[in-house]
Amino acid sequence: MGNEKIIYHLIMLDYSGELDKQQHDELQTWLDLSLENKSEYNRVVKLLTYYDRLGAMKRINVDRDLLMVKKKLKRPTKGNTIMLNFQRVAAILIIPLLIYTAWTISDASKSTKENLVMKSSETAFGVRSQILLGDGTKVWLNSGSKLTYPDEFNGDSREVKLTGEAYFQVESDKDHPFYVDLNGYKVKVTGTRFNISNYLEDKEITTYLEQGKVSLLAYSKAKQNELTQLKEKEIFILDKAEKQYRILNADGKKYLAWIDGLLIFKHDNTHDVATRLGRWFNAEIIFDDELSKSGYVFTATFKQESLEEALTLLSYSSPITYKIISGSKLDDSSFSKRKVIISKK
Amino acid sequence: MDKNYPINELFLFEEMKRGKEYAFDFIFNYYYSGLCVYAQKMISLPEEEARDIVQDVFVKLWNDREKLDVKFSIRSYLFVSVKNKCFDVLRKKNRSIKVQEITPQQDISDESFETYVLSELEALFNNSLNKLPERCREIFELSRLQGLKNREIALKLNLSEKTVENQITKALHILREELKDYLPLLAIFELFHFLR
Repeated sequence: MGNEKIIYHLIMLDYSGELDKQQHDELQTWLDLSLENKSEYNRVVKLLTYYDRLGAMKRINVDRDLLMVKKKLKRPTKGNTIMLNFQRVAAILIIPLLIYTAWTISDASKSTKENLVMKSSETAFGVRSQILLGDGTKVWLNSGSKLTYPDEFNGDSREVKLTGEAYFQVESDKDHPFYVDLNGYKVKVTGTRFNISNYLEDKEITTYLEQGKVSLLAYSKAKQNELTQLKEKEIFILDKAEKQYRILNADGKKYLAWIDGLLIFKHDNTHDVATRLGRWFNAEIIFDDELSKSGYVFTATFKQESLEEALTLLSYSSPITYKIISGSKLDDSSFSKRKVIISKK
Repeated sequence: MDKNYPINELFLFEEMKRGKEYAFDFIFNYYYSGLCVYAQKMISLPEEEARDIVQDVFVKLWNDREKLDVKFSIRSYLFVSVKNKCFDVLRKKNRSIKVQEITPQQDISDESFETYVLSELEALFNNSLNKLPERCREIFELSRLQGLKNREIALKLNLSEKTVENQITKALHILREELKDYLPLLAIFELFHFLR
């Protein structure tokens, strides 16, 4: 091994073209000793080549360059119909958005206290919408979520209530802090951008801060106390049962992608994939026991795909197969959710 | 197309023909980084130019998608297009090169492209990386995957250059053992390149 170490070092120097004359002779002598040495040399060089190549590939920014290509495609060229095609694609993207917005149900009901007219917007599963509040705050409401808010904000603070997931761009107003009530917890902000996920059926509440500053509060009838503050690009994860929280640095892309109509999985386990995929497509996703216990993680990005397309893509990049059981008609003549059973290939 | 690639090219191709952008995106994500590195290596172009070449090839793929024959492999199409475009650029740059010297070889099989597909190469190598002791792995990754010089690594980790050197040598020794069985199978094409 001692001798081998020196040889490996020489091979590396040769590979990067840094051999001096004496080292070159040394390596050559070793190479001439046997055929086995020659193939050993080739093996090591090959190893270095492949790992360097892997590194070079990983350093390329594919997302950015895909956007550049899309731009090139959109540029009209003489006698080319590509433009038309992309307009069609754009139309496909926009029409569902319009439908989502129309779909949100707004109902106005009188609130007893403070004389505020409370409104609520709700999104069905598989549907997303956007709401503009009275103070100029913008809210994106994810699938299967409900936001309750006053028609007009008056008083010292601005307060809304959320179940499900929403992204907020809160209009800055230092004198009137903005609260998001999460049933037992509150997020307090002045002017900032952040995402909250508070689905009733989830174990955890999460808050991801994109920009600005937010405080997390716990409250009960008797008292209210501040748990912690978040810095930009941090995510707050609270275990509802344990009443324990943790803060992590997080990749915002994953948490904010749904606003752009993207569903992103990044090293997510089967449980997370089942929950989020199910919400996104309004389907019940079931991983079979073998997969659930395998510790397998998924990485994928979906845009405008249908459920079938998404599953097909998943099955190309992961060792899975799937079966879709379409919804059956229920007594009240609505349909039950589609079921998807995913198992190991 | 009788080759068993991990991705179903035929399906993606048909989807792309129907104008589905997601299929195009998928193909792009799958092949782009490898093609860029391939172009760079092919004619040692600066990264910027290599990326331009590859992007043009993808623009053409989308524009010509209806004219292309579904039965052929997207993989070969992309790599051969990039190769040809590289030669065009070379020709323009250096008119003194004789045409026949740079005519692309017709008989290069798909074999040599395989090692330019990020996820496939990664799948092959990641397992063996896991076999390295932690420190050793960290240093090797900084060196090969992130392209740092030994001196830079030593500075970053507060080690001597000699230690860094030893760790990389150690990594090579372990990896070589790990990969012994299929290294010879990979890209025979490469071997010729180095034996020259």
